[in-house]
Amino acid sequence: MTQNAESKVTLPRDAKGKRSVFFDDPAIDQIMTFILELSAEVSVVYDRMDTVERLLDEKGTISRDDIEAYRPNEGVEAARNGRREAYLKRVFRMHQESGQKE
Amino acid sequence: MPLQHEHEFLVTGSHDEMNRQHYVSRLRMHILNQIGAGMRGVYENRVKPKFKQTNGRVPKNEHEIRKAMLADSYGKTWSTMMVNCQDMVWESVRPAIERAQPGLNEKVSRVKATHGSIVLNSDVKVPRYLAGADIHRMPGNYHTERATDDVTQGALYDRGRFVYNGGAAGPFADGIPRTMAAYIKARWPDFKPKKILELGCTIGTSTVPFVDAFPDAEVHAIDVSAPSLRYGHARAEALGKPIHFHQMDAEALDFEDQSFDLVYSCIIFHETSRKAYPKILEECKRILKPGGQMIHTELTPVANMDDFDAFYIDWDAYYNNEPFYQTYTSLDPEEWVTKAGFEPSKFFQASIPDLDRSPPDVFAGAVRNPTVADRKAARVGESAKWYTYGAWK
Ligand SMILES: C[S@@+](CC[C@H](N)C(=O)[O-])C[C@H]1O[C@@H](n2cnc3c(N)ncnc32)[C@H](O)[C@@H]1O
Repeated sequence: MTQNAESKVTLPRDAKGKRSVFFDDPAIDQIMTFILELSAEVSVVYDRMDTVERLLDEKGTISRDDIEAYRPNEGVEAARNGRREAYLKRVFRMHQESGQKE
Repeated sequence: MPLQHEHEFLVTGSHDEMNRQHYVSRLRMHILNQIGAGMRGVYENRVKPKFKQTNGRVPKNEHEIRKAMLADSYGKTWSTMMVNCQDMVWESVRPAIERAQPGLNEKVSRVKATHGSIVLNSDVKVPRYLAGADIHRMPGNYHTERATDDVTQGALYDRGRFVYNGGAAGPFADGIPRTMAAYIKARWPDFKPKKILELGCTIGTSTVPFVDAFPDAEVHAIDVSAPSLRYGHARAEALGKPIHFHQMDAEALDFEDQSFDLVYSCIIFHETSRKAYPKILEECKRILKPGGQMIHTELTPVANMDDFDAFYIDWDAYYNNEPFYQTYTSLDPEEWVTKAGFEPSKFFQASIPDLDRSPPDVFAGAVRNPTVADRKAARVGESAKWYTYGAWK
Protein backbone atom coordinates (compact mmCIF):
# COMPACT_ATOMS: atom_id res chain seq x y z
CA MET A 1 0.00 0.00 0.00
CA THR A 2 1.31 3.43 -0.86
CA GLN A 3 1.35 5.91 1.95
CA ASN A 4 0.86 9.52 1.09
CA ALA A 5 0.83 12.44 3.50
CA GLU A 6 -2.97 12.40 3.45
CA SER A 7 -3.40 8.83 4.52
CA LYS A 8 -0.86 8.82 7.31
CA VAL A 9 -2.65 9.52 10.57
CA THR A 10 -0.91 10.82 13.64
CA LEU A 11 -2.73 11.75 16.80
CA PRO A 12 -1.82 14.55 19.15
CA ARG A 13 -0.79 13.44 22.63
CA ASP A 14 -2.43 16.31 24.44
CA ALA A 15 -5.94 17.65 24.73
CA LYS A 16 -6.68 21.10 23.40
CA GLY A 17 -6.20 23.90 25.89
CA LYS A 18 -4.06 24.68 28.87
CA ARG A 19 -2.79 21.87 31.03
CA SER A 20 -4.02 22.09 34.61
CA VAL A 21 -1.41 22.46 37.30
CA PHE A 22 -2.40 21.92 40.91
CA PHE A 23 0.80 22.38 42.89
CA ASP A 24 2.53 25.71 43.44
CA ASP A 25 5.56 24.18 41.78
CA PRO A 26 4.45 22.65 38.43
CA ALA A 27 7.36 20.22 38.68
CA ILE A 28 5.30 18.24 41.20
CA ASP A 29 2.48 17.78 38.69
CA GLN A 30 5.09 16.78 36.12
CA ILE A 31 6.63 14.24 38.48
CA MET A 32 3.20 12.72 39.04
CA THR A 33 3.04 12.02 35.30
CA PHE A 34 6.38 10.21 35.51
CA ILE A 35 5.36 8.20 38.56
CA LEU A 36 1.98 7.13 37.22
CA GLU A 37 3.43 6.15 33.85
CA LEU A 38 6.20 4.24 35.58
CA SER A 39 3.64 2.42 37.70
CA ALA A 40 1.93 1.33 34.49
CA GLU A 41 5.21 0.02 33.07
CA VAL A 42 5.83 -2.11 36.16
CA SER A 43 2.36 -3.59 35.88
CA VAL A 44 2.88 -4.33 32.19
CA VAL A 45 6.15 -6.12 32.91
CA TYR A 46 4.42 -8.14 35.61
CA ASP A 47 1.67 -9.18 33.20
CA ARG A 48 4.27 -10.21 30.64
CA MET A 49 5.96 -12.44 33.18
CA ASP A 50 2.58 -13.83 34.11
CA THR A 51 1.96 -14.67 30.45
CA VAL A 52 5.34 -16.38 30.19
CA GLU A 53 4.69 -18.40 33.34
CA ARG A 54 1.22 -19.45 32.27
CA LEU A 55 2.41 -20.47 28.81
CA LEU A 56 5.35 -22.40 30.26
CA ASP A 57 2.99 -24.21 32.64
CA GLU A 58 0.85 -25.14 29.69
CA LYS A 59 3.40 -25.97 27.01
CA GLY A 60 6.84 -26.32 28.59
CA THR A 61 8.55 -24.25 25.92
CA ILE A 62 7.46 -21.06 24.21
CA SER A 63 8.42 -18.50 21.60
CA ARG A 64 8.18 -14.72 21.52
CA ASP A 65 5.24 -15.07 19.13
CA ASP A 66 3.42 -17.17 21.68
CA ILE A 67 3.72 -14.31 24.16
CA GLU A 68 2.58 -11.67 21.71
CA ALA A 69 -0.38 -13.76 20.66
CA TYR A 70 -1.46 -14.60 24.19
CA ARG A 71 -4.78 -13.04 25.30
CA PRO A 72 -6.06 -13.68 28.81
CA ASN A 73 -9.50 -15.17 29.25
CA GLU A 74 -11.96 -13.69 31.75
CA GLY A 75 -10.57 -15.84 34.57
CA VAL A 76 -6.95 -14.83 33.97
CA GLU A 77 -8.03 -11.22 33.54
CA ALA A 78 -9.84 -11.36 36.88
CA ALA A 79 -6.70 -12.74 38.55
CA ARG A 80 -4.63 -9.98 36.98
CA ASN A 81 -7.09 -7.35 38.12
CA GLY A 82 -6.85 -8.70 41.66
CA ARG A 83 -3.08 -8.39 41.40
CA ARG A 84 -3.32 -4.90 39.93
CA GLU A 85 -5.64 -3.71 42.68
CA ALA A 86 -3.41 -5.07 45.44
CA TYR A 87 -0.44 -3.41 43.75
CA LEU A 88 -2.28 -0.09 43.53
CA LYS A 89 -3.19 -0.31 47.22
CA ARG A 90 0.45 -0.92 48.13
CA VAL A 91 1.93 1.80 45.95
CA PHE A 92 -0.63 4.58 45.91
CA ARG A 93 -1.59 4.87 49.55
CA MET A 94 -2.22 8.26 51.01
CA HIS A 95 -0.70 9.27 54.34
CA GLN A 96 -3.02 8.56 57.26
CA GLU A 97 -2.84 12.09 58.61
CA SER A 98 -4.24 13.24 55.27
CA GLY A 99 -7.64 12.40 56.64
CA GLN A 100 -8.24 8.98 55.13
CA LYS A 101 -9.80 6.50 57.48
CA GLU A 102 -8.96 2.87 56.90
CA MET B 1 -13.91 -6.15 34.60
CA PRO B 2 -15.47 -7.83 31.60
CA LEU B 3 -13.38 -7.91 28.46
CA GLN B 4 -14.57 -5.70 25.64
CA HIS B 5 -16.45 -7.36 22.82
CA GLU B 6 -14.09 -7.33 19.86
CA HIS B 7 -15.97 -6.50 16.70
CA GLU B 8 -14.16 -6.42 13.38
CA PHE B 9 -13.15 -2.75 13.56
CA LEU B 10 -12.12 -2.45 17.19
CA VAL B 11 -8.46 -1.53 17.69
CA THR B 12 -7.12 -2.86 20.96
CA GLY B 13 -3.35 -3.22 20.81
CA SER B 14 -0.44 -5.57 21.33
CA HIS B 15 -0.08 -7.90 24.30
CA ASP B 16 1.66 -5.22 26.37
CA GLU B 17 -0.56 -2.35 25.19
CA MET B 18 -3.70 -4.18 26.22
CA ASN B 19 -2.27 -4.90 29.64
CA ARG B 20 -1.34 -1.24 29.96
CA GLN B 21 -4.93 -0.26 29.07
CA HIS B 22 -6.34 -2.66 31.64
CA TYR B 23 -3.98 -1.32 34.25
CA VAL B 24 -4.97 2.29 33.50
CA SER B 25 -8.62 1.27 34.05
CA ARG B 26 -7.75 -0.09 37.47
CA LEU B 27 -5.62 2.94 38.27
CA ARG B 28 -8.53 5.23 37.46
CA MET B 29 -10.87 3.24 39.70
CA HIS B 30 -8.26 3.31 42.47
CA ILE B 31 -7.98 7.10 42.28
CA LEU B 32 -11.75 7.55 42.12
CA ASN B 33 -12.76 5.05 44.76
CA GLN B 34 -9.81 4.43 47.10
CA ILE B 35 -8.07 7.79 47.09
CA GLY B 36 -11.38 9.54 46.38
CA ALA B 37 -12.85 7.89 49.50
CA GLY B 38 -10.61 10.07 51.64
CA MET B 39 -11.79 13.31 50.10
CA ARG B 40 -14.91 13.82 52.19
CA GLY B 41 -13.01 13.16 55.40
CA VAL B 42 -10.36 15.66 54.39
CA TYR B 43 -13.09 18.17 53.71
CA GLU B 44 -15.00 17.63 56.94
CA ASN B 45 -12.01 17.29 59.26
CA ARG B 46 -9.56 19.73 57.80
CA VAL B 47 -10.71 21.93 54.92
CA LYS B 48 -14.08 23.00 56.30
CA PRO B 49 -12.80 23.87 59.82
CA LYS B 50 -9.95 25.87 58.32
CA PHE B 51 -12.32 27.71 55.98
CA LYS B 52 -14.58 28.49 58.94
CA GLN B 53 -11.69 29.82 60.93
CA THR B 54 -10.64 32.18 58.14
CA ASN B 55 -14.06 33.27 56.90
CA GLY B 56 -16.28 32.93 59.95
CA ARG B 57 -18.66 30.64 58.02
CA VAL B 58 -18.72 27.37 56.10
CA PRO B 59 -18.33 27.30 52.27
CA LYS B 60 -21.61 28.36 50.73
CA ASN B 61 -21.49 26.31 47.53
CA GLU B 62 -19.57 23.80 45.44
CA HIS B 63 -17.32 26.48 43.90
CA GLU B 64 -16.06 27.56 47.29
CA ILE B 65 -15.59 23.92 48.23
CA ARG B 66 -13.53 23.33 45.10
CA LYS B 67 -11.27 26.28 45.77
CA ALA B 68 -10.76 25.26 49.37
CA MET B 69 -10.14 21.59 48.49
CA LEU B 70 -7.57 22.56 45.90
CA ALA B 71 -5.64 24.54 48.48
CA ASP B 72 -5.22 21.30 50.45
CA SER B 73 -2.43 18.84 49.69
CA TYR B 74 -4.84 15.89 49.53
CA GLY B 75 -7.07 17.75 47.07
CA LYS B 76 -4.07 18.72 44.96
CA THR B 77 -2.72 15.17 44.89
CA TRP B 78 -6.08 13.65 43.99
CA SER B 79 -6.60 16.26 41.29
CA THR B 80 -3.25 15.87 39.59
CA MET B 81 -3.67 12.09 39.65
CA MET B 82 -7.12 12.40 38.07
CA VAL B 83 -5.93 14.66 35.26
CA ASN B 84 -2.84 12.55 34.63
CA CYS B 85 -4.83 9.35 34.55
CA GLN B 86 -7.38 10.88 32.19
CA ASP B 87 -4.58 11.59 29.73
CA MET B 88 -3.15 8.10 30.24
CA VAL B 89 -6.46 6.60 29.14
CA TRP B 90 -6.21 8.08 25.63
CA GLU B 91 -2.44 7.70 25.52
CA SER B 92 -2.80 3.97 26.21
CA VAL B 93 -4.83 3.50 23.00
CA ARG B 94 -3.16 6.05 20.73
CA PRO B 95 -0.17 4.05 19.42
CA ALA B 96 -2.24 1.04 18.35
CA ILE B 97 -4.69 3.26 16.47
CA GLU B 98 -1.91 5.13 14.69
CA ARG B 99 -0.45 1.79 13.64
CA ALA B 100 -3.82 0.56 12.41
CA GLN B 101 -4.02 3.56 10.05
CA PRO B 102 -4.46 4.15 7.16
CA GLY B 103 -5.65 0.54 6.84
CA LEU B 104 -8.52 1.08 9.24
CA ASN B 105 -9.96 4.01 7.28
CA GLU B 106 -9.71 1.99 4.11
CA LYS B 107 -11.34 -1.08 5.64
CA VAL B 108 -14.23 0.99 6.92
CA SER B 109 -14.69 2.75 3.58
CA ARG B 110 -15.26 -0.65 1.98
CA VAL B 111 -18.12 -1.57 4.32
CA LYS B 112 -21.39 -2.19 2.49
CA ALA B 113 -24.64 -0.87 3.91
CA THR B 114 -26.36 -4.24 4.24
CA HIS B 115 -28.43 -3.89 7.38
CA GLY B 116 -28.63 -0.13 7.86
CA SER B 117 -27.32 2.97 6.12
CA ILE B 118 -25.26 6.10 6.51
CA VAL B 119 -25.83 9.57 5.08
CA LEU B 120 -23.15 12.16 5.67
CA ASN B 121 -23.63 15.86 5.04
CA SER B 122 -20.51 17.98 4.97
CA ASP B 123 -22.64 21.14 5.27
CA VAL B 124 -23.34 20.28 8.90
CA LYS B 125 -21.18 22.55 11.04
CA VAL B 126 -19.56 21.32 14.22
CA PRO B 127 -21.01 23.56 16.97
CA ARG B 128 -18.64 25.79 18.89
CA TYR B 129 -19.19 23.85 22.10
CA LEU B 130 -17.66 20.78 20.45
CA ALA B 131 -15.01 22.53 18.38
CA GLY B 132 -13.76 24.61 21.29
CA ALA B 133 -12.70 21.99 23.82
CA ASP B 134 -11.54 18.39 23.80
CA ILE B 135 -14.25 16.95 26.03
CA HIS B 136 -12.92 14.42 28.58
CA ARG B 137 -9.50 15.55 27.37
CA MET B 138 -9.80 13.16 24.41
CA PRO B 139 -7.37 14.65 21.87
CA GLY B 140 -9.36 15.59 18.78
CA ASN B 141 -12.79 15.15 20.39
CA TYR B 142 -15.52 13.29 18.45
CA HIS B 143 -15.28 15.19 15.20
CA THR B 144 -11.68 15.91 14.07
CA GLU B 145 -10.84 14.53 10.63
CA ARG B 146 -7.23 13.86 9.74
CA ALA B 147 -7.61 12.10 6.40
CA THR B 148 -10.21 11.27 3.78
CA ASP B 149 -12.90 8.97 5.19
CA ASP B 150 -11.28 9.24 8.59
CA VAL B 151 -12.63 7.11 11.46
CA THR B 152 -9.77 7.68 13.90
CA GLN B 153 -11.79 9.53 16.53
CA GLY B 154 -14.44 6.81 16.48
CA ALA B 155 -11.80 4.15 17.08
CA LEU B 156 -10.19 6.22 19.83
CA TYR B 157 -13.54 6.72 21.53
CA ASP B 158 -14.55 3.04 21.28
CA ARG B 159 -11.46 1.65 22.97
CA GLY B 160 -10.64 4.69 25.12
CA ARG B 161 -14.10 4.94 26.60
CA PHE B 162 -13.96 1.26 27.54
CA VAL B 163 -10.66 1.85 29.34
CA TYR B 164 -12.12 4.96 30.98
CA ASN B 165 -15.17 3.07 32.30
CA GLY B 166 -13.13 0.08 33.35
CA GLY B 167 -15.69 -2.00 31.52
CA ALA B 168 -18.36 -0.99 34.03
CA ALA B 169 -20.93 -0.59 31.26
CA GLY B 170 -20.46 -4.18 30.00
CA PRO B 171 -18.67 -5.76 27.01
CA PHE B 172 -20.61 -3.51 24.62
CA ALA B 173 -20.25 -0.35 26.74
CA ASP B 174 -24.01 0.01 26.68
CA GLY B 175 -25.13 -0.21 30.33
CA ILE B 176 -27.08 3.06 30.28
CA PRO B 177 -29.02 2.64 27.03
CA ARG B 178 -29.74 -1.01 27.82
CA THR B 179 -31.10 0.09 31.18
CA MET B 180 -33.20 2.80 29.50
CA ALA B 181 -34.69 0.47 26.91
CA ALA B 182 -35.52 -2.16 29.54
CA TYR B 183 -37.11 0.51 31.70
CA ILE B 184 -39.30 1.84 28.88
CA LYS B 185 -40.52 -1.66 28.08
CA ALA B 186 -41.20 -2.52 31.72
CA ARG B 187 -42.90 0.73 32.70
CA TRP B 188 -44.96 1.24 29.54
CA PRO B 189 -45.53 -2.28 28.17
CA ASP B 190 -48.21 -1.06 25.74
CA PHE B 191 -45.90 1.48 24.10
CA LYS B 192 -44.67 -0.02 20.83
CA PRO B 193 -42.63 2.59 18.96
CA LYS B 194 -42.35 1.96 15.22
CA LYS B 195 -39.84 4.70 14.46
CA ILE B 196 -37.06 5.57 16.87
CA LEU B 197 -34.43 8.31 16.83
CA GLU B 198 -31.33 8.72 18.95
CA LEU B 199 -29.68 12.14 19.25
CA GLY B 200 -25.89 12.29 19.71
CA CYS B 201 -25.24 8.61 19.00
CA THR B 202 -21.42 8.97 18.57
CA ILE B 203 -20.44 5.42 17.47
CA GLY B 204 -23.87 3.89 18.00
CA THR B 205 -23.07 1.97 21.18
CA SER B 206 -26.17 3.57 22.66
CA THR B 207 -28.27 2.86 19.57
CA VAL B 208 -27.80 -0.92 19.36
CA PRO B 209 -29.72 -1.73 22.58
CA PHE B 210 -32.81 -0.01 21.16
CA VAL B 211 -32.58 -2.14 18.03
CA ASP B 212 -32.46 -5.19 20.27
CA ALA B 213 -35.28 -4.01 22.54
CA PHE B 214 -37.61 -2.95 19.69
CA PRO B 215 -36.82 -5.34 16.84
CA ASP B 216 -39.86 -4.25 14.81
CA ALA B 217 -38.91 -0.58 14.86
CA GLU B 218 -36.98 1.41 12.28
CA VAL B 219 -34.07 2.94 14.18
CA HIS B 220 -32.31 6.17 13.20
CA ALA B 221 -29.35 7.85 14.89
CA ILE B 222 -27.80 11.26 14.35
CA ASP B 223 -24.60 13.03 15.31
CA VAL B 224 -22.60 15.96 13.97
CA SER B 225 -19.30 14.06 14.06
CA ALA B 226 -18.54 12.29 10.78
CA PRO B 227 -15.58 10.15 11.97
CA SER B 228 -17.72 8.76 14.80
CA LEU B 229 -20.66 8.08 12.46
CA ARG B 230 -18.51 6.27 9.87
CA TYR B 231 -17.00 4.09 12.54
CA GLY B 232 -20.39 3.55 14.18
CA HIS B 233 -21.93 2.47 10.89
CA ALA B 234 -19.13 -0.05 10.29
CA ARG B 235 -19.53 -1.34 13.83
CA ALA B 236 -23.30 -1.72 13.47
CA GLU B 237 -22.88 -3.58 10.19
CA ALA B 238 -20.29 -5.87 11.78
CA LEU B 239 -22.77 -6.62 14.57
CA GLY B 240 -25.59 -7.09 12.05
CA LYS B 241 -27.72 -4.30 13.53
CA PRO B 242 -29.97 -2.25 11.25
CA ILE B 243 -29.32 1.39 12.12
CA HIS B 244 -29.73 4.42 9.86
CA PHE B 245 -27.01 6.93 10.65
CA HIS B 246 -27.26 10.58 9.61
CA GLN B 247 -24.89 13.49 10.02
CA MET B 248 -27.21 16.14 11.46
CA ASP B 249 -27.30 18.81 14.09
CA ALA B 250 -29.76 18.04 16.88
CA GLU B 251 -30.53 21.74 17.08
CA ALA B 252 -31.92 21.72 13.53
CA LEU B 253 -32.95 18.25 12.39
CA ASP B 254 -33.77 17.52 8.77
CA PHE B 255 -36.63 15.19 9.73
CA GLU B 256 -40.23 16.14 9.11
CA ASP B 257 -42.70 17.16 11.79
CA GLN B 258 -44.37 14.27 13.60
CA SER B 259 -42.18 11.56 12.11
CA PHE B 260 -41.02 9.57 15.18
CA ASP B 261 -42.68 7.62 17.98
CA LEU B 262 -39.69 7.72 20.29
CA VAL B 263 -36.79 10.16 20.50
CA TYR B 264 -34.06 9.70 23.08
CA SER B 265 -30.51 10.60 24.08
CA CYS B 266 -27.83 9.23 26.39
CA ILE B 267 -25.74 11.81 28.22
CA ILE B 268 -25.48 14.45 25.54
CA PHE B 269 -26.96 17.67 26.94
CA HIS B 270 -24.17 18.49 29.38
CA GLU B 271 -21.80 18.56 26.41
CA THR B 272 -23.91 21.10 24.50
CA SER B 273 -24.68 24.69 25.56
CA ARG B 274 -27.17 26.93 27.28
CA LYS B 275 -28.49 27.99 23.89
CA ALA B 276 -28.51 24.56 22.29
CA TYR B 277 -30.33 22.71 25.08
CA PRO B 278 -33.76 24.39 24.64
CA LYS B 279 -33.46 24.18 20.86
CA ILE B 280 -32.84 20.44 21.00
CA LEU B 281 -35.86 19.94 23.27
CA GLU B 282 -38.01 21.92 20.83
CA GLU B 283 -36.78 19.76 17.96
CA CYS B 284 -37.77 16.66 19.93
CA LYS B 285 -41.26 18.07 20.34
CA ARG B 286 -41.49 18.93 16.65
CA ILE B 287 -40.45 15.57 15.22
CA LEU B 288 -42.54 13.48 17.62
CA LYS B 289 -45.90 12.12 16.59
CA PRO B 290 -48.79 12.85 18.94
CA GLY B 291 -48.65 10.20 21.66
CA GLY B 292 -44.91 9.81 21.10
CA GLN B 293 -42.29 9.78 23.83
CA MET B 294 -39.15 11.83 24.44
CA ILE B 295 -36.71 10.40 26.98
CA HIS B 296 -33.21 11.46 28.04
CA THR B 297 -30.68 10.11 30.49
CA GLU B 298 -28.40 12.74 31.93
CA LEU B 299 -26.59 13.82 35.07
CA THR B 300 -28.67 14.27 38.20
CA PRO B 301 -29.60 17.93 38.71
CA VAL B 302 -27.47 19.60 41.37
CA ALA B 303 -30.63 20.47 43.32
CA ASN B 304 -30.81 16.76 44.14
CA MET B 305 -27.20 16.54 45.28
CA ASP B 306 -25.40 17.68 48.39
CA ASP B 307 -22.78 20.42 48.06
CA PHE B 308 -19.79 18.17 48.50
CA ASP B 309 -20.91 15.85 45.72
CA ALA B 310 -21.70 18.86 43.54
CA PHE B 311 -18.05 19.80 44.01
CA TYR B 312 -17.10 16.88 41.73
CA ILE B 313 -19.31 18.35 38.98
CA ASP B 314 -17.59 21.66 39.44
CA TRP B 315 -14.21 19.93 39.29
CA ASP B 316 -15.09 18.09 36.06
CA ALA B 317 -16.30 21.28 34.42
CA TYR B 318 -12.94 22.89 35.06
CA TYR B 319 -10.46 20.08 34.63
CA ASN B 320 -12.18 17.56 32.39
CA ASN B 321 -13.12 20.14 29.75
CA GLU B 322 -16.85 20.06 30.30
CA PRO B 323 -17.73 23.76 30.13
CA PHE B 324 -21.54 23.33 30.22
CA TYR B 325 -21.59 20.49 32.77
CA GLN B 326 -22.12 22.82 35.67
CA THR B 327 -24.75 25.10 34.17
CA TYR B 328 -26.61 22.13 32.76
CA THR B 329 -26.89 20.39 36.12
CA SER B 330 -28.15 23.60 37.72
CA LEU B 331 -31.15 23.68 35.35
CA ASP B 332 -34.50 22.17 36.24
CA PRO B 333 -35.38 19.70 33.46
CA GLU B 334 -39.11 19.98 34.13
CA GLU B 335 -39.02 23.73 33.55
CA TRP B 336 -37.20 23.40 30.22
CA VAL B 337 -39.22 20.47 28.94
CA THR B 338 -42.36 22.47 29.63
CA LYS B 339 -40.91 25.57 27.96
CA ALA B 340 -40.23 23.44 24.87
CA GLY B 341 -43.99 22.98 24.58
CA PHE B 342 -44.65 19.71 26.37
CA GLU B 343 -47.59 19.66 28.79
CA PRO B 344 -46.51 19.78 32.44
CA SER B 345 -48.77 16.82 33.20
CA LYS B 346 -46.93 14.77 30.55
CA PHE B 347 -43.51 15.24 32.17
CA PHE B 348 -41.86 12.33 33.98
CA GLN B 349 -38.54 11.72 35.72
CA ALA B 350 -36.96 8.81 37.58
CA SER B 351 -33.64 7.53 38.84
CA ILE B 352 -33.28 4.12 37.27
CA PRO B 353 -31.07 1.44 38.85
CA ASP B 354 -28.44 0.15 36.43
CA LEU B 355 -29.60 -3.13 34.93
CA ASP B 356 -26.26 -4.90 35.46
CA ARG B 357 -25.39 -3.45 38.83
CA SER B 358 -28.61 -3.90 40.77
CA PRO B 359 -30.68 -6.93 41.74
CA PRO B 360 -33.77 -7.58 39.54
CA ASP B 361 -36.20 -6.75 42.35
CA VAL B 362 -34.60 -3.32 42.83
CA PHE B 363 -35.03 -2.60 39.12
CA ALA B 364 -38.63 -3.85 39.21
CA GLY B 365 -39.30 -1.71 42.29
CA ALA B 366 -38.05 1.38 40.49
CA VAL B 367 -40.42 0.61 37.61
CA ARG B 368 -43.44 0.23 39.94
CA ASN B 369 -42.53 3.19 42.06
CA PRO B 370 -40.53 5.83 40.15
CA THR B 371 -38.52 8.16 42.37
CA VAL B 372 -35.68 10.60 41.90
CA ALA B 373 -32.53 10.03 43.94
CA ASP B 374 -32.72 11.91 47.23
CA ARG B 375 -30.28 14.53 48.28
CA LYS B 376 -26.99 12.86 49.17
CA ALA B 377 -28.00 9.67 47.37
CA ALA B 378 -26.48 10.73 44.08
CA ARG B 379 -22.75 10.05 44.19
CA VAL B 380 -20.99 11.19 41.08
CA GLY B 381 -19.00 8.53 39.28
CA GLU B 382 -20.05 5.62 41.44
CA SER B 383 -23.77 5.93 41.14
CA ALA B 384 -25.53 2.79 40.02
CA LYS B 385 -28.64 4.84 39.17
CA TRP B 386 -29.35 6.84 36.05
CA TYR B 387 -31.38 10.00 36.19
CA THR B 388 -33.85 9.92 33.32
CA TYR B 389 -36.51 12.37 32.28
CA GLY B 390 -38.84 13.10 29.43
CA ALA B 391 -42.40 13.72 28.35
CA TRP B 392 -45.18 12.34 26.20
CA LYS B 393 -46.44 14.47 23.35
C1 LIG C 1 -21.12 11.94 25.33
S1 LIG C 1 -21.32 11.71 23.62
C2 LIG C 1 -22.70 10.63 23.54
C3 LIG C 1 -22.40 9.23 23.87
C4 LIG C 1 -23.33 8.21 23.30
N1 LIG C 1 -24.71 8.60 23.28
C5 LIG C 1 -23.15 6.97 24.12
O1 LIG C 1 -23.94 6.78 25.07
O2 LIG C 1 -22.23 6.21 23.84
C6 LIG C 1 -22.03 13.19 22.99
C7 LIG C 1 -22.25 13.15 21.49
O3 LIG C 1 -23.17 14.17 21.13
C8 LIG C 1 -22.77 14.73 19.91
N2 LIG C 1 -23.39 16.05 19.82
C9 LIG C 1 -23.20 17.11 20.62
N3 LIG C 1 -23.95 18.15 20.23
C10 LIG C 1 -24.64 17.74 19.14
C11 LIG C 1 -25.59 18.35 18.28
N4 LIG C 1 -25.97 19.61 18.44
N5 LIG C 1 -26.09 17.63 17.27
C12 LIG C 1 -25.71 16.35 17.08
N6 LIG C 1 -24.83 15.71 17.87
C13 LIG C 1 -24.30 16.40 18.88
C14 LIG C 1 -21.26 14.72 19.95
O4 LIG C 1 -20.72 14.76 18.65
C15 LIG C 1 -21.00 13.40 20.66
O5 LIG C 1 -20.84 12.37 19.75
